[in-house]
Amino acid sequence: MDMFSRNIKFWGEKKQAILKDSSILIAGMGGLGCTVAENLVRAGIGKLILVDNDIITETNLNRQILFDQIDIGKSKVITAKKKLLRINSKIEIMSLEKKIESTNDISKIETSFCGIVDCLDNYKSRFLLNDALKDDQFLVHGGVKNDFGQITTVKNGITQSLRQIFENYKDEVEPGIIPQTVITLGSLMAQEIINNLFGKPQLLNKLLIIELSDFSMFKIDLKK
Amino acid sequence: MIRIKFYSLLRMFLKQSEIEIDADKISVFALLQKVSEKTKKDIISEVIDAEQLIQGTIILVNGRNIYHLEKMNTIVRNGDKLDIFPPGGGG
Repeated sequence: MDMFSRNIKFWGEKKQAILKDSSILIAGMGGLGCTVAENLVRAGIGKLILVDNDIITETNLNRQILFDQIDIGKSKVITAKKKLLRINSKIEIMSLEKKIESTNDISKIETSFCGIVDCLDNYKSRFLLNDALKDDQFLVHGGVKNDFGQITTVKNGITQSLRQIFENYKDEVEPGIIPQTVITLGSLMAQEIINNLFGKPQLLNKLLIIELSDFSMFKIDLKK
Repeated sequence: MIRIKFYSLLRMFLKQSEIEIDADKISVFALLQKVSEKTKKDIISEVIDAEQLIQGTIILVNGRNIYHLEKMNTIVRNGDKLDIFPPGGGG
């Protein structure tokens, strides 16, 4: 049986083939990045580009599901690549140990990708990531704190940019965060990435807010 | 009526997710003062410091961030919709 036979029973061979031919850049391999990556690999994505310059610390282990105690001190992107290839050895994964400090850090990456996933932990880098978005690409943004978070899809000329939506942000050093928040939000981000790859994004000009405390989900209309 | 929706920490603070204020051609600052009066909760001190929006709180008027409009002096009208939330910044 094919690894993806249960996926195919739901969405069919054509959509499975779309995923196999698709490539996604994941910026930030923290809690959201790990969950997004594992979801996409198990869904059948063909190629991932992982970008992060951090090493794994003990405080990451409550929520960064690709890492274990034996990984402490190792590179996040290299460790994530090894774990993801254990799930599916046939996919292509690029590990880039770099911090996003300018748009060039993304635009000069010498490979193509269909979309970008914003799993970063600061808005300055998130805005630079958005600036590097090409017209034929999409960006799925996710941010989390405590037991809540938000997701949206950005496309040049169709939606507002992250800077337009989130100006007046405040970056916090190591905000509170629990595993169920990043795993839930990361899985919903993976769904929206797949929606984009299938040509049916659900969060264009909409900001989805998820609050786990009482299982609330809200969609805010964002005007272009 | 002007409809204001609150999310996450602010929704918990107010213990309600939505409020309607009967007003027209009023600044965001004055509107929030009316919210405080109506709810008897000091929402002003939660989101404003020295008449400026506290960093980390986003206010959207009809889906647009007031940071790119007239900030707290942005005029809202009967029928407008506001969404107020602190976005998650962690990844």
